[in-house]
Formats: sequence, C-alpha cells, structure tokens
Amino acid sequence: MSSGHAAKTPGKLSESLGERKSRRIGWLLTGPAQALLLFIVVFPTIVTVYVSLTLWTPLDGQPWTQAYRWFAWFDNYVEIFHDAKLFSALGRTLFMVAIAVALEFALGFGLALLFVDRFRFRPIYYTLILMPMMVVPAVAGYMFLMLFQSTGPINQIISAVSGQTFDPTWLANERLAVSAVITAEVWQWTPMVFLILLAGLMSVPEDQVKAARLLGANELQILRRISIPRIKVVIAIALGIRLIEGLKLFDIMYIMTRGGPGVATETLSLYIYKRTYGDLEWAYVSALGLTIVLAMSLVALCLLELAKRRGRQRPAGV
Amino acid sequence: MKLSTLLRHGAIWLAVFVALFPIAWMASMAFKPPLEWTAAAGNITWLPKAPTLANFEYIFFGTSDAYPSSTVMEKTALRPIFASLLVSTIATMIATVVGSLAAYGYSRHGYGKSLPLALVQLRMFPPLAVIIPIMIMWAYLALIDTWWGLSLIYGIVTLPFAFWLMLTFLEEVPIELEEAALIEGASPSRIFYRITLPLVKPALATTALFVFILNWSDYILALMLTRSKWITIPVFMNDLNSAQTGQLYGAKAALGLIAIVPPLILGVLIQKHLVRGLTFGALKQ
Amino acid sequence: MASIELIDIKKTFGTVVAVDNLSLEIKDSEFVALLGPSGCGKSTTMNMIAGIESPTSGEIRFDGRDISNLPANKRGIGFVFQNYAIFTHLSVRENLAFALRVRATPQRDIDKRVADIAELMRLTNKLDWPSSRLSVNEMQKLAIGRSAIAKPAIFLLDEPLSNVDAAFRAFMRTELKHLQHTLNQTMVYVTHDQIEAMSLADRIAVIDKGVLQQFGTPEQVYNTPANKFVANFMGSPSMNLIEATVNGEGSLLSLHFGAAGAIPVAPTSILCSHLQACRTRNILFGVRPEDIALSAPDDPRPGLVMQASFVEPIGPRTTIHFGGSVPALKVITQKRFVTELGEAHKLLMPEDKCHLFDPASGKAIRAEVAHVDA
Repeated sequence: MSSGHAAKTPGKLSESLGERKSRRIGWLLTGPAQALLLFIVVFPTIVTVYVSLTLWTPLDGQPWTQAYRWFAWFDNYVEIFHDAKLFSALGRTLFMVAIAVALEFALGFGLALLFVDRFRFRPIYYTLILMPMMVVPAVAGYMFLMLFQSTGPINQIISAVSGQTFDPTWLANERLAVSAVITAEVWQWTPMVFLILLAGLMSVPEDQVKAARLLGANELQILRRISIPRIKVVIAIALGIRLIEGLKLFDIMYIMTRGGPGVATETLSLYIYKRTYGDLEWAYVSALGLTIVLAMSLVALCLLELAKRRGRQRPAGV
Repeated sequence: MKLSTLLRHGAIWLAVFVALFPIAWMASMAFKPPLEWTAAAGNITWLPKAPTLANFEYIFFGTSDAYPSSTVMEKTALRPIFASLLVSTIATMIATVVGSLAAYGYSRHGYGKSLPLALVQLRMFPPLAVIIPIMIMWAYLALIDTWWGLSLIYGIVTLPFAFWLMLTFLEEVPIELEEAALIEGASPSRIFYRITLPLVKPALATTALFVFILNWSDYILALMLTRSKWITIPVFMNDLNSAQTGQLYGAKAALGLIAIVPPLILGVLIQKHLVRGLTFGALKQ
Repeated sequence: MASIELIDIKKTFGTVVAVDNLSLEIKDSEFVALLGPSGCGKSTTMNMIAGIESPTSGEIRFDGRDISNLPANKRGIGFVFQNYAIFTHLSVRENLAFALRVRATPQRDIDKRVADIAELMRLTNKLDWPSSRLSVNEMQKLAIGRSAIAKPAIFLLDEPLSNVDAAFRAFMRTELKHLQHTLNQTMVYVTHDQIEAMSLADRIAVIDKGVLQQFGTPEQVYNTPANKFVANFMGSPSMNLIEATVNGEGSLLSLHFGAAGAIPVAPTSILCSHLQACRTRNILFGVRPEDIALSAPDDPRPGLVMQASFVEPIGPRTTIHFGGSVPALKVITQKRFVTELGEAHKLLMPEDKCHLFDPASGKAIRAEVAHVDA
C-alpha cells in the first residue's frame, strides 16, 4: 500500500510532447470533467446565494427568478444562529455519529487484528464480513426496520438468551430508537473501517513486526509501539471518511424512523429534509446549505493535507 | 495457543453471523407467505414454513393469490427495476468515461489541476445541503423525473470516484512505455488507444463496477429528483405499503433481495480494490 | 552465550521440503556461516533457530535445553534482518532502546545502556536522528546495536551484507568481524557469498536443497570438499571438474582425459591411494584453477598439453581457459602471464591437490577418512 506520487508531479508526458500540443490534448481530455464540474457548481451556487438572501418559497407560486421580491438581506443567516431545532439536530447527529464511529472503529480494528495473520478460509470470511457494506443503504434500513419489530428476531434472540420475555417496540421508544438506528449504521459501516484498517495493518512491514517480537515485545507492545504508530494516518483517513459520511446520515434513519419518535433520531439531513419538504422553506434551507458547505470545505482541506503528509511519510528505501 | 485460536475463530464466526444475519433474515422473509411475516411473541418463523414465490409474483405482477385482494397495485416493480438499471448504467458510463479521460489528462499532460481537490469536495457535502439549487436547476431544465436528468446527477456525483480511482491506476502504469512510443513518432491518440487503454482495461472495469454500485445504492437523489415515472428501486420499495395491512414485509423483502444482489456480486468481484475506491486512492491494498 | 544444537530438523511447506533432516552443532562463541545458493533452506534454518518458524520435526537445543516450544520473544536471540528492519518511525535512540522499553526497564538504565551501545557502535552523535536518514552502514550498526542491547545469548544475521555495494562490503566485513570479537558471542550468519563465509566464519555449514553438504572450517571446506556441490560452490572461479577414466591395475594407474590426453599417476602419491579407493573406472576429476601450474609443452613431467582458448586478465591475476571444447580447464596464474591464443602449454597438476568424485553420487572419493565432518 502506498499513496500515489505521480499526482504530485503530473504531466510527465507533456514535456516530451511539446507544450502547445500537450495543452490542446490536456484541455480535450479534462474538458468534459471540468464542464460537468462547472455545471454543477456555478449555477447552483448563484441560485443558492441569490435565494438564500430572500424569503422566497415555492408556495408563493412565483418562480425562483422572482425571489428578489422577498429580498431580506441576511435574515436567513441570522436565523441559522437562532435555530434551536437545528442545533439540537446537529447535536444529535454529532452524538450519534460519535457513538457509531467509535463502535465501528473498535469493532473494525478488533476484527482487522484477527485478520492480519493468514489462516484457513481467511479470504472467505473476509468476503462475508464485507457484505453489509455492499448492501444498498435504503435496503439496510429496511432490514433493521424488520429486525427491530417488537415481535421481530432481535427481541426473540434477546428473550432466548436472557430467559425473560423481551418485547419492546424499539422504534417507538426514544432511547431504543436511537440505539436501533446506531446498530444499523454500525452494522453497515463497520466492514468499511475493518477493510481500511486491515489494509493499513497489512502494510506494516512484516520484518519490523518480527524484529520487534525477537527484541522481546509481546503482541500488545508490537501493536502499541510498531503497528499503531505506523498506521496513524490510515486510522485518521478511516475516521475522517466515516465522520464525514456520518454527517450525511439519512437513508437508514429516513426509512427506519423518519427521525422519530418525536425528533429522537432526527439528524441534520433529516432536519433539512423536513424543512425542505414539510415547510418548503427553500430560502432558509439554501442559506443553511451554503453554511454547511463552507464549513465542510475547511474539513476537506484538512483531510487532503493529511493525505499529502502520508505520501511524504514513506520510509526511505530500506 | 490452542485457546487463542479457538477464541479467534469464535470471534470471527460471531462477526460473520452478525454480518449475514440481517441479510439472511430478509432473504428468508422474501419467501414467506403473508401469514408468516409477523408472529406473536415466542412464535417466530426463522425459515419459511411454507416457502412461496408469492412475494416475487406480487412485486412483478401487482397481485398474488396469497395476498389480500385490497393490496392489488397498479404499478409493479418492473419499471423501477428497469429505471435503476438504466439510470445506473448510463450514469456509470458518464462517470467512467469523463473521469478516466480527465484522470489521463491530469496524470499525463498536467491539465485540470483543480480537479482532484474540487472533486473530493463535491463528494463531501451532505446531498441535502445542496439539493435545493439542484432541484431548482433540474426543474428549470425540465430534468425532474426523467431518466437523463437522474443519470446526469448520478454521473456527476460519482465522477470523483471514477477520476480518483483511474488516477491511482494510471499512476501505476509506467509512463516509459508511452514516452517510448512518443519518441518513435506515434500520435497521442494512437498512444492512448494502442498503449494506455489496453494497459488500463482491467482498471477501467473495476472503476465502472465500483461506480455502478454507488449509483445503484443511491436513495436520496432519486427521492428528490423523481416523481413517479423514473423512481428507482429503493424509492419504490419504501412506498410498498398497503393502506389496510400496513407494511408489506414479504414484498419489500423480495424487492430488497433483488436490490442487493447486483452490488453484492459486483462488490465481491472488485473486492481487491475497494480500499482504494473508498479512500479516493489514498490507500491501496 | 550459548551453544546451539539442531537435531534432525525438518521443515516442509506443503509438499516442498525446505530443510531435510539437518543436524548441526554450533559451539559457544563460535561464528558459523550457513552458506548456500538462494532457496537452499539456509534462511529457513535460521528462522527456526530464531523461533520465527517452527520445525515440522526435530529438536533445537540451546545449551542442551530443548527450546522448540519457546516463543521467539523468549529465546534471547539477537536477529539482524537482511534489510535491517529498522523502525523507521522511531529515532535512532528509540530504536536502540526498544528491547529495554518492552521490558519496562527504568529510564535511567535505558539511558545508560543506550549510551554504552551507541558508543560501541559509533552512533553517539546520531542518537537523535530519525532512523530513516541513516546510511546503510549505520543502519546495519543500528540493527546490530539494537539487538545487542538486550545482551542476547545468540546472534543471528540474515545476509547482512547483501544490500551493500561491492566496494563497501569489504569494509563492512571487517566491521562485522571486529564486532564479533567485541561481543564475543555465538553468531550464526546466513549468506550465499562464499568469500564472505570464508573470510568471516570459524566454521561453514554448506547447505544445498535443504540438505547439509558439509560442516567444517573454511580450510576444510575449501581444501577437502565433501562432494561435487561443495567443490563447485567454494572458490571463484570454481573448481575445474572434468570427466576422466582410470586405466591400469594395482598401483600402476593412469588417468585418461579423452582428447586432452592422459596422465600417469605416481604409485606412491596420495592420488594413487585415492584412485585405489575407486569402485568405478569413470570418475569426476577436480582441480582448482589456482593449483594448476603452467609449463612449456616439452616439460618432461606428467601433465596435459592444451591450447589457450581465452584469456581473462583480472588485475594481478589472469585466468586462462584451455581447450575450446570438452574437456575445458581454467587456470589462474598469479602474476601477469603472457600467452598467445592457441599457444600450447603443459598443465601440471600437483597430485596432492587433485580431487576425485563419484560421478553418480557426487561424493568425494578419498583413501583415508580423515576429514568427514558432515
């Protein structure tokens, strides 16, 4: 495993091709992608900025171009900071994502450790453990909707193991609904953390692990002093991706609970969805969306910086 | 030594069981007749007692003898399945072709310097945060509830993956071959078709499969940008309720099973490259 | 410090036999080289001593104690990997301290021992460098120092010089020899380079295809190779091995080399007693290139008259190839020897420097059984 290097010195072929010709071909090749990117960035950005400065809603029966009639300067942006429901949705999202990612990490790392050595049928177990990740998220939401019915198999298994009747209606109970939704999320995405961390662990040079062992280190010390320090960046990437993906949390929750009961499982995405569809407050949602985009761009820059640092961190050719 | 091996295998079996149980439960549900869908406590049906294809019959033909007569539906799942297939395929073609060309241009000619970062950012935002302007634009361009409109947005949102995957694959193809061909006087297009393309064919296939899985798995964009004609499987599935009997568990399970089979198979095929795909090429296996 | 005993060690990977019934006794403070071509099982043997791999059957003893079931980290072994396996994410100091840290040694002791070992390895001024910035030579010293700090009873080195370029290797060899003297420990050294083995080891174990071919001092292995393989493997250029037929009876014997002619064998020579031990008439005749003396074609002494076919001057020595087709012989002349291509010379082979091998088994044919070490 390694990170790419040509990405940092692109255009090696252009030197031998001559600049003019290379420029033409370069534009030809990257043109479509740049066009699509412009298409999806420029117009929507203009629309968002424009609409977000108004109080327009499709309910007014006027097209968005007429939004200036309800021009309101920065009212929407000001509202964001007074939107208690937004902050509680954000808080819930962060809370659920934090728990889910912590569990995914603990389980994924534990599993990855079990898979570092070779053993019989390892590729088969590996493939089977990756399966949840490939399930369509909406279908995963539906699976857990079934599993968490009060007469569903999860209650049955708990009853059988504990020897007592256990039949709560998970998705109707505020606390249980949160754990049910987190369970579904953890089920689906632990394999991804497992996959990435395993790739990291497998990239730790075998000789170094052996050397550490011969120097008297036990498995725990090898992990703490060799493996983990060496895959710090991999861990950061896995956590970063899961955190960012976690903030998108929508499909599973929408299908399992629609944010309910009450607002117990209402995430940021579900909150936006409700404001978009329930209240048709498109101007406010535009302002909110733009704010989120700007905030997350900062995160993106940080993540890329990390990725770059990983590229530089490669050991000298030993 | 023996104990640790036993513990390890115990843990792995448990993990495999947990990973497969929900899938197995849904698969079992897909073959259960309506009477076995739900059960009184302590009376659960793990495997269908009277296995039936009624659920599949229902989603394909809109009616089944095993179902209450009130559940007859006018729209079958055939159209959403077709929509999912068509839209995912076209979007995959858009993303793979555009993404690969751009990756080639970037990696070999140094153009599109803003692409790598811009594309990662594109993928980063919660779709719902940016959906309003897209809905407005889609409405403006009359793209709502059309196969091309949905294909276009899918193609755009999976473009980052196609670009990054192909970029990391291209970096592994030694540039010396292309340089040698260039020195011998081959034209750039000839080099691309005769040298680069054959070398990256497997990579292109991997990229296409990966992108297809992503497109096929979408829910939110289809939910927002289609109304009725071009709804996809997940959207259709969630609406698969009956006013009288509530959730049609068996029918949903049958459709869910159909929905998860393609990505499961494709996912196993490209298993080796999943890490690379999921981390935008930052990590390889 | 410890002695090592391998008793009937066998290691198989699936159907492949990597090491086959190998027995070896390494004395305390001895420097032993395991020598053989790549894939011969020497590294596997070393890994089994270290505990990285466990033998399929057989027993390994340190100081007479069976350690077959002792895990690698309890064997008290210093292991230097081929690529040194430096922990590149740690500084030089932390690399050296590693073995002490994992044993929860008090910081004060760590500081002192690290300082001592750094002094010994001449790494003191680089202690706080990131280890990835060291030169190859320093990395080797770091790898040895890192192992030495825990005072291992046995040192194992896996081809430590194979990453080093030729010019540097001689220097590193001296360093290694010096270190062995300083540490005065049992050292086992894996290499495929016979010169390295000859110059460093007290004894050499020559291994081929998982089987021990010969175990003896460099002189024994070089001067009285136990079989064709050892004869061929030791020495550069390698020993001349040509087919010959034995003619005559009793002590009146002669060796016939096809078109190249024949040599009568002096009845009292050691070669004659060797030949008398032969059971077959066809043998493999071996003589080292440097043991052949050249003389004028009309020299009355017994020898083969052959024509020079190819001359390779290598610095102070010259290798001359004789006889274009079979049989062909290489001869090394110590000083610059002037000859024309096609010029005839008489090749004199001192009878005490000749080796005989059984063409079927490859085993050395010798009259007395003075040097059977394997």
